[in-house]
Amino acid sequence: MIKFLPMLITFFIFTACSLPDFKTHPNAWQHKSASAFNSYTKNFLRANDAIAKSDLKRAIAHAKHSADLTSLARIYLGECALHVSVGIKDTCQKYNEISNLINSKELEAYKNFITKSINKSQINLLPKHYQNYTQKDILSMPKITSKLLSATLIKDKLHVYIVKQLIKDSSYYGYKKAVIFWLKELKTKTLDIKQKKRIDKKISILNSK
Amino acid sequence: MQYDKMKLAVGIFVITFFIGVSTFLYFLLDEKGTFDKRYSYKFKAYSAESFSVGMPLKLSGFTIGMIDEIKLQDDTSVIVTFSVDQDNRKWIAKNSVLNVKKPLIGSSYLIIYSAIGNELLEENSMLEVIVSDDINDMIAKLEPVVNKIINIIDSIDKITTYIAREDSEIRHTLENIEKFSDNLAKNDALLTTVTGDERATQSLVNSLESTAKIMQDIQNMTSGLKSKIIDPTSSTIKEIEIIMKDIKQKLDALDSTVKTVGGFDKDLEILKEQITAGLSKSNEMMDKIDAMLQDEKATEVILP
Repeated sequence: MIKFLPMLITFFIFTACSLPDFKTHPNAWQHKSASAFNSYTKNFLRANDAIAKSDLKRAIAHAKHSADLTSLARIYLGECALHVSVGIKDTCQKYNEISNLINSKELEAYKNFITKSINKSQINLLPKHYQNYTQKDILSMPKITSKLLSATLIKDKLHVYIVKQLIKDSSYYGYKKAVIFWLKELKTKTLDIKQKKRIDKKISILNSK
Repeated sequence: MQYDKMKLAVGIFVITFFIGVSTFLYFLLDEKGTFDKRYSYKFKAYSAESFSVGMPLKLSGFTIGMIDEIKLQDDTSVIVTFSVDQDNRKWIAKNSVLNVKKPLIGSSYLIIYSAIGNELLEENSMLEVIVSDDINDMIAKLEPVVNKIINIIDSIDKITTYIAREDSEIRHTLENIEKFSDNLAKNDALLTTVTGDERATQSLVNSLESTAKIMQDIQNMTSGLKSKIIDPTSSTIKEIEIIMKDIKQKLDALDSTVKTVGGFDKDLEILKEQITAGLSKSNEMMDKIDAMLQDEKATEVILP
């Protein structure tokens, strides 16, 4: 241990010197905003609400350093999408308030997509994995957040297997909010009373402190 | 000679004076009617109390004669003689009546009620007399009043006598009142005493008792209400009162604390600034840690 310690310290010093983050970039605010929102996404889904709130505030604060409100609009849309993905009702009002200040058809199409008001003409403006996807396509989506969002938007039509798989994936990432949400959805799709009781018990355990 | 003349003159004077006085006296007396012939008349009275010698006889307010003599007779009656002069004799006619007037004020006098046109009454004739005096008249007038008063007194006497009688109605009434009051004293129920009907009294008493029961039931209900609702409410109100007092105490303590804290406004401002600066520094650290921990060096916010 004593021998290992100097090596560790040396390693950290060289790593620190090599990291470009310690260099000041002109658009450091963008990085910081993106990083903060990324951290918010994880902490929100993990039900670390206090940290998530702090991360979101940091992300918004960094995004407001620029007159280009695209980052801010993306933060608002991302927040709305995360809410929708775990069953929280959200009309993306924050985005709507600044949508007329940005000219982004993609973001507008994305907003319509998550609020289930998209036109056929806007589908092509969505990310590819959201364009005409089916249940089978959900499990093959690249990001867990995409899986959760796309599944929530068609939750009534989802097969139990897909729901179970989503629960499994969410549990793997430790996304507690998503787990609880999909457990409740599984309960609605389950006819077996015993199974329902087991699901209720799981939910109560997860909700308890 | 001279002396003789004087004596003669004096003598003539005296005589002349004497004659003159005598003549004067004569005429005077004649004028007074001393030498007139008077005609006497008489009347009989039972008592001489009302009369006196010299009592005038009047006719229509004029004195035409006077009483000359009052004599007591053997039969205890009184003969009164009065006289009138020649001129006034014409008033003393037959069937004239004398009236003795005894005014309340002044002396008594005789009044003649002359029967004018009748023959003149002969001298020394007896006239009829009516004794009337004001006192008697008054008495005469009062007499009926007095009689009435006497009657009233008699009636009162009769009434009281009647009242005092044992079989009188008033006595019966009083006895009845006495009985009533005795009954009242003995009987608790006034109604029984008044009506004499115990059943009526009993039914009324029963009604009152049932009313009393109803009132008691109502009272029980209200007492139950009191214990079920009012008391708990009262106790709740008391608890609320205790809570409010506690809150007030705490607010007072808080107020003092706020005042104490308020005194540290400047220090708090400095502290706030320092905390803000610390938070900003920690945020920067977190940003750097995020950047270190995250694989992708994204510049764009990644949407789900």
